[in-house]
Amino acid sequence: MTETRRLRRRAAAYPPLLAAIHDPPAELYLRGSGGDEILSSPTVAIVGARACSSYGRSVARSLARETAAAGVAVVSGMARGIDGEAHRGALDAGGVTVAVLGCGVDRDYPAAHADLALRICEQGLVVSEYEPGVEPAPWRFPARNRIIAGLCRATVIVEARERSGALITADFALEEGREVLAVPGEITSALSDGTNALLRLGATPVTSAGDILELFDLAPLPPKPASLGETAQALLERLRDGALTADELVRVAGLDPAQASAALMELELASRVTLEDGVYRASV
Amino acid sequence: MLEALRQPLEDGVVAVARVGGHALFPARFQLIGTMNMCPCGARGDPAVECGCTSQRLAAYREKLSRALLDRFDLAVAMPRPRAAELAGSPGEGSSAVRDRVARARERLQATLPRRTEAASELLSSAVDRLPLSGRGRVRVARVARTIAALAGATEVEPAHVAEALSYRIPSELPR
Repeated sequence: MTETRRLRRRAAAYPPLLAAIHDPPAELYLRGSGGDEILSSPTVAIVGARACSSYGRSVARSLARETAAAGVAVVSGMARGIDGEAHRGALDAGGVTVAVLGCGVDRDYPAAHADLALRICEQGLVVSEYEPGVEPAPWRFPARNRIIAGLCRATVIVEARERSGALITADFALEEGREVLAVPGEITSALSDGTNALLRLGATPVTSAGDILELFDLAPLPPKPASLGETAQALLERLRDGALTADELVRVAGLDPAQASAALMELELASRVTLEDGVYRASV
Repeated sequence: MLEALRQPLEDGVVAVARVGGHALFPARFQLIGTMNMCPCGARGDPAVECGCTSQRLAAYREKLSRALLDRFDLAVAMPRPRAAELAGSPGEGSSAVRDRVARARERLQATLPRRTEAASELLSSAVDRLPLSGRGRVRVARVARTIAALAGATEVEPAHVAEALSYRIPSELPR
């Protein structure tokens, strides 16, 4: 584990966006190989619920990947669900991600994300206003959320129920005059009630990474080289109409299963689709 | 009980040691198992949303150790059949399949097909990207060889490796 260092509010490297909130942390503890300047570089928060759908996970991962690929660091809370996928998406792109914790940076919370924390530390940062040794506690998470929102020009909520803790981050962002964006969800899904409600109140809809990147006057990286095989391309088109299992794809596309396997593997390795619990989804 | 299967799966014997002596029982068998992806059974079906809490899901998945899972050569996703499927034709007959398997075994006993360079490259990128453990890689390579033999191919091609990869143990388990 790399050493923990401290960043005081008066230090030159203390991120200006965070200093501007109405009660910025007096100190930040940092762990990881990323430099302090990451906190002052273009950043966006990508957050959401712990209990989320496959759709939410897939979208969080894709959005984070494209955002990080374009050079914008992804900030999140390293929680299960949406946060974890946001960090992983940024790592997929070989980009920078920052995890803000509601406990000391020497604690991996949740424990299942210990490996993820290590990977984040390779190029990014794990950050907290709590000193090393402080245990996670439910009442520390809202306070942590203000730092996530405070570090960034914009906060993207990917998926959240009506009373989800993730909405607290959106509230902080609004209070501090930052942009709030939300990903639309199926109106029949309770898991998207919070995000859909944000949209109704005027949050900017996100239907692609471009919607996030244009806040930074950036465009997503040019579309992947069209070096996808014909079968792969055809399957990708089918998946854009909706998620399907491999068997369903083979039936619907009328393909030879062996051909379909090869094409799906091609799509997976090129990050054009995600596979979860046997279900394929086109990446955003 | 499940973990007790690990030894016979790997070694083909069950070893029993007592104070009076020990015995080795031959135990070569083929194990076929089925499971849902979660307690409520909804995961794996794009049309239904899973209602399991993350704790319930984790407890369910942790029942299978990674060590036991790694001993399975193939994992096949079986989605809920749709009405059209149930009403459809029965597919290939067993004797046709048996002949194909017998011929493939003969081929494999004669010579083991080697991987093309492209096939090896695909396997390597999959190991990095998916990710795939060392043991997982070995199993995928063996399954790819079998697929090539079943197809009557002299070499293991990328398509065979791709198909073998589609039968890998899902990385969600036991996470």
